[in-house]
Amino acid sequence: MMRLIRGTLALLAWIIIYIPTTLFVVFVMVKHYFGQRRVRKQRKQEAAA
Amino acid sequence: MSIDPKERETMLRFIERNVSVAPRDLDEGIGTVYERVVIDDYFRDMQSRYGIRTVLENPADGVTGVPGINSLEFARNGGTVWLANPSQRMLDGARPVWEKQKLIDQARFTRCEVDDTPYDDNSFDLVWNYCMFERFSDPSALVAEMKRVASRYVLLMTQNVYNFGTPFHKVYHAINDHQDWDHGYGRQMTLGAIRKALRDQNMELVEEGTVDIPPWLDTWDMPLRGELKQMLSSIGRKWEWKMENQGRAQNGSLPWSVSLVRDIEANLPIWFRKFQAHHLYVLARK
Repeated sequence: MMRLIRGTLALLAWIIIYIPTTLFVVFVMVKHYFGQRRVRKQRKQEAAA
Repeated sequence: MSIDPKERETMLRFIERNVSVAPRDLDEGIGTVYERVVIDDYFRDMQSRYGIRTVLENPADGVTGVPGINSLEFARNGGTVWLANPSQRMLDGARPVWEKQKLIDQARFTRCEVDDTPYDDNSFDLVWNYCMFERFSDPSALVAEMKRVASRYVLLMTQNVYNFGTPFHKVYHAINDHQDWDHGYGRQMTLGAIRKALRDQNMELVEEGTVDIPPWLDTWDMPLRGELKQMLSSIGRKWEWKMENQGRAQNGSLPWSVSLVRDIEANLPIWFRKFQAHHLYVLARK
């Protein structure tokens, strides 16, 4: 019984921390995507010039 | 039974790229510090249970680009460690890490191919590698060589394909100018694949498990450190996780955040550990 309670509490704590950390990773990826897009656009413009 | 030259080349490129982006100040980030704490816990325990004195890491790798860091714990507990790698740059990068830890006298560095090492049969108590097994579609040549030079044990530790971080990292590669996927084969990142490779070499499985299950995605080698540093410096705070001041070796204590996450991990149910662990391992006897 104690094991079940401990496991459930650990799982709950894990999920509570997991949500913001995952959102942070998503934020970094989106930022990275737009950064890459900007660089590609810049390179294209430079090549055209 | 041989290693695909293309896979050999991809592995070498991956290792050398990681060495080139290694944080020169050895500021690894919390994810890596935490990973090392829990993996070192396992190594310390395993080393004492099986009386391991000599260790070969073949091929040796690093974490977050810090080369040669994985086997330090064996040396801290009195073992002698051989690091083998086809990349001289990786070995050159590993040397200062061991010097900084004052463990250089217990380390030997060898440049060689993963399936053709210069060691005699039965030379080491333990032969292992970290996230290298899955880089080969047919890892039998690697595992056979590991078995040949081991006198007792072979340990394989891999990424976990079931971790939610795997698809995220694939997306990361796709948006990063369609950077080639250089982390190996998903089908090799399972306990079943590791067990099979060891059984195919007629080895007896001793133990297996999951390790490194913090409440964040496995971001593989995605550079998050810089983002966190930048964000926190904008509000006048510092984000620094250096191996020398966050390690446990000096004063025996861990930062509270690392202790909290480790306690959570220790109590997670087994079914959950299997698909959210960042790493899987199997230890086999010759």
